[in-house]
Amino acid sequence: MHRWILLCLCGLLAVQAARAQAVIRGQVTDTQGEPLIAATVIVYDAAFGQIIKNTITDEKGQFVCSLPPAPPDSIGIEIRYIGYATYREVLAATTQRRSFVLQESAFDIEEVKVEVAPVTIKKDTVVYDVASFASEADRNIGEVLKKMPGVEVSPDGMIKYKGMPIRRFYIENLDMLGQRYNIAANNVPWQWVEEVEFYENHQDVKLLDSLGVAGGGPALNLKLTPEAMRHVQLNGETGVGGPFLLWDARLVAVKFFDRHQFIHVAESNNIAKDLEKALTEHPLSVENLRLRRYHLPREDLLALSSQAVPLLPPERYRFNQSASTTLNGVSRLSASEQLRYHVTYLYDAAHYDFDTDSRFFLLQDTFRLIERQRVESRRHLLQAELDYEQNTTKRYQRNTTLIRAHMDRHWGQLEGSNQLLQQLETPYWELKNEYMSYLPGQGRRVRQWVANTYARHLPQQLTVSPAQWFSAETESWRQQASLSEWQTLLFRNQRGGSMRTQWQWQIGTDLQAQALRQNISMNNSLGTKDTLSGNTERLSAYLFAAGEWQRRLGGGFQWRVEGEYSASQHRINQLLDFIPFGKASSSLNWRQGRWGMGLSLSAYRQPERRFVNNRQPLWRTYRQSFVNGDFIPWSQVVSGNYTLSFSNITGGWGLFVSVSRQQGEQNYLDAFDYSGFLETRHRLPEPAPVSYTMTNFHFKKHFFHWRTTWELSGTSFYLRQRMQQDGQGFWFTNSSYHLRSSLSFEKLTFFHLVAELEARGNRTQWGEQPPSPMVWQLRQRYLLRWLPAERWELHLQWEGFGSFTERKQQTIAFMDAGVRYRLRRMSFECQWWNIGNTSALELQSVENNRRQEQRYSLRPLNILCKLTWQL
Amino acid sequence: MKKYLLTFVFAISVAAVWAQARLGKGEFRAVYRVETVTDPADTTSLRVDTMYLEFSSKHSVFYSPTRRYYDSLMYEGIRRSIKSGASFQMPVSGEQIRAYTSAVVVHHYPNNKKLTFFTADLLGAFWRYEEEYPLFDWQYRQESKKIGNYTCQKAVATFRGRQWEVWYTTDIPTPFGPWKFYGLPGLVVYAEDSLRHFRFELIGFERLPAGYEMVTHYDPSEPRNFVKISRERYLKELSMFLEDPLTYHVRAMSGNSNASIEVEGIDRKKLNKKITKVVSNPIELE
Repeated sequence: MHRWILLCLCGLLAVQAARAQAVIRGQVTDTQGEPLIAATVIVYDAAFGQIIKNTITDEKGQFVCSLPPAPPDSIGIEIRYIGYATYREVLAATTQRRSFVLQESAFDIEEVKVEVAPVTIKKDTVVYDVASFASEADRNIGEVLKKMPGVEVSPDGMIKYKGMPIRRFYIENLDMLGQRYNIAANNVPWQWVEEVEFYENHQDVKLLDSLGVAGGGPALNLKLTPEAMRHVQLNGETGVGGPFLLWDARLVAVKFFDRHQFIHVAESNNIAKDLEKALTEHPLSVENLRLRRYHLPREDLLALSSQAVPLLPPERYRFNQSASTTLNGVSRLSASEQLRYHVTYLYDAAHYDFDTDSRFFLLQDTFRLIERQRVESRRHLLQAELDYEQNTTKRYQRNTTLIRAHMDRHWGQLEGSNQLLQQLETPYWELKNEYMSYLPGQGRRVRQWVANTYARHLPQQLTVSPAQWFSAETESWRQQASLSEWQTLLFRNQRGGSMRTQWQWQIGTDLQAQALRQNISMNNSLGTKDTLSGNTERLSAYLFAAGEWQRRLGGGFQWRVEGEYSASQHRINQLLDFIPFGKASSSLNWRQGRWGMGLSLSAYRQPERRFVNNRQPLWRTYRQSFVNGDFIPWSQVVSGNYTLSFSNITGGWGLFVSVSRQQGEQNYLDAFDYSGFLETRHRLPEPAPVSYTMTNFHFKKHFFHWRTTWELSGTSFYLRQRMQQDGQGFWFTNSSYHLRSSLSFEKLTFFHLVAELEARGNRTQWGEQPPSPMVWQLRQRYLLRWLPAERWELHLQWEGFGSFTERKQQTIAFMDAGVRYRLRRMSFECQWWNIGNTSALELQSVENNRRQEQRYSLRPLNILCKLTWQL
Repeated sequence: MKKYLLTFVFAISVAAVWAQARLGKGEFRAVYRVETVTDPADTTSLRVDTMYLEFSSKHSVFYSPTRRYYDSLMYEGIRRSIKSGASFQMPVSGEQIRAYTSAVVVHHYPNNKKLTFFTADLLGAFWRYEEEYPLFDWQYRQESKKIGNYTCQKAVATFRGRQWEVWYTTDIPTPFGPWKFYGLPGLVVYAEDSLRHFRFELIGFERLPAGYEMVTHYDPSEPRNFVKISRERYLKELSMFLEDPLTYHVRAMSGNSNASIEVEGIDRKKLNKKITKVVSNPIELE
């Protein structure tokens, strides 16, 4: 009995063992009997649910699949091979040898195009994939930047990231252009750029970076495609058209190598493209302003009559002949040294024609002038800059030298109530040298030295020849104003602190010498000369000491306190004057995730940088040139500033709001005297209250899936100031509003839509008189792009402009069209502007006490055919 | 002077990478987005690479196309300068090149049934080692989900100290996968380790043009010069490199195991971090 039981058990075990070792051997072939190598064999349970085992066929198409111990009674076998139909069969889970024949499949494997994430965030670097935002119709990287969430590009080309202007514009981590980055934004095709990187809180000084000092703002880096870095690239555009001879030509040569980059642009046109815009030097960062590393922008002493500017692109009403050439480059001398150079020549001749109907609101009276004006200008600009930078973790030094010369000449012709011919020459010479160095001190301390020198000379002259003048005996009149200015700034800055707390203090001196010479001479019909002249010489010495302390508090808060005291001694035309200035401010910033908020309060008394400020219209105010320069103008103000920001870049959201309010007084009063048509402006040394409120906001939403960007931005400004007319004081108020919205839809490959709406309003109030009527300008633009075939692009643009007051409404519309045919390295295009041939634009405007209606001559129907090529 | 020397040796170290083997005609290319946390202590220190997996029925090669492109620029540059006698100027900086991994993983089937790992990421040295299958003990799960257009199944495995969760699709039947992944019934669509330090994501798939030849590295004419070592030796080399990359580099370049280097004016710690970026967080912990 026991033997039998034992035998049965052994038999059962043997069966179990045989089942455990079940092996399926097979050969997989195609219908021709050819073995299929590396076909995937998957063994499932009988329901094809759970995978039990998988293997691959060998070079003979054979496979061996040992089933695990205790398999189910039956199994499902699945064989897959690319290009063949999937084979499935349910088999008994026993050892067996089988042949499998796979049928060829008509269905090919589906390909998947690579879709790169449009935005990637790596620590404090945000990377935008350019192809995700660009469309075939975009010409340069600047146009693509406008669509990126969190990025704002202002009309003058300034790039802001999360509401802050960028500090550096790098191309492959080399800063070639400094603040003139419009040159790259306008001339680098987007196809050369693979990614745009934004470095938040970028610290470009390695020494400070090694000590953990965060930078004061964002920086941008263009990561180029390997092809763009491989060769010297040459691009060009040549266009000719009519009526008469229209031209638009451009040549761009670039080299983006690791150690040396350059970009050379030569262009010329008479289709009203503004070449000077590409040379714009964007303002310095807040940090540099705080460190006094800045110089004053050009400000002329004399000017022709100011004109109201319509809310239309200048291409509609500007008649020009322009040419420019600019060479920019950077060479990496060693791992830590680089040399940057910039040379530019610009020629621009332009004219505007307009009829003016002006009404002047005086305190007791109003009067009206009807005139026809033609303003012509011819300008030359030559500038060269050399910049050396050494940047290591032990030392930083940088020296920038700039020479700039403008030779500008303007002509103005006035017909109507007065008949005048004016000729204005405004040459301008400037020499600038800025030196800065950082050296490490003990512990985490850093010493900084700054020595900046600015010199400028403006010998300017205005000649007026009245053909018919209300003051009949005056025959001609000449005004000369010449300013020579020298400023040297020398200071030492020391900073230190820990990761949480940082401080810096500054001590230095600012020496200024200015000599202003003014002279007016009038010839009258009696043969005598009436002359008026005045010289102002000023020597100023400032000694200043400033300190700043900031601490990172918990919960994302940061607190900053700063103070400055400056003692200044002035010598103005033999008179000595001592004036103390001071500033105290405190700010609290909070940043948590996507939200940021800032609140700052400051009180200061500070000198106004310029003591000459007589850029007033000269048409009617021919004796107004003398501004009292015998005192140092200053203002003392309490100001508050509030900012709010939200950014969710990966979600496509960005919002930035800022509100500023200033209230205080200045030590001078702007005064006007009228005698008939004659206006005389003074600056009286009497205190006058002044206040303003400014609100800015910018909102952007990018819909990634829809490739659609919606942008909304606005500014409101309110100014209230005490003034004087004919000895009588009054309040002057000015309110202005600006709102802009744009939508760009590029989801469909064959159809794009860009819609823009812009509105601007302005109103002034002069004393107790009723406020001037609100003047609104409204502009709408709709651009349709149709890409019917791979190489073709058609576009149609409608632009409407309206000028509205309570009393009068004026609207006009423009229609433009274009067609473009693209080849791989070449494209042909034809453009038609102003198809309706609208010849004039009527514009209403309000400025100070003057309301004007101007009728501009517009550019007629223009046609241009262009060839664009790339080598 | 030492700084210049350092730049020079980096240049040479890149220059010597070109050596390759032909792998026959390629059929398909899978494009992966590979995310790597470079510093395990800081999960935001993310490196993102685009990597190619090219395969036929017999071989696969997994590499960084950008790194291969930069290698090609260097190679062509050197070749031109030798030809013309002009001094060689690096078309791209060493830093740019080193931002992309030089590691190449080649799978062989059915003849050799092993993988070969090539690397020049340990600066100055060119190593190659082989490993035989099976490496992964895949556990198949019944879970499935749709990723993109692919229906994917889940498999898990523990491999050298990391637990991997992998989603693969049988729609593309191939045993080859990115990096060392091998032996699944279909192409890897998504893979991630449990610490979330490494992530492989399929972002593109295409058929290679007819006649496309797969190679391990750019240079089609140079003999192989990757020194064959064992994986154990490689791990030792890697730890030596991570400990002091500059000394490792100089020793490897000079062949002198006692050589050392002093650098002035350079933050050595920061430089070390930069140099070791692509290998600082090893994907294999054992």
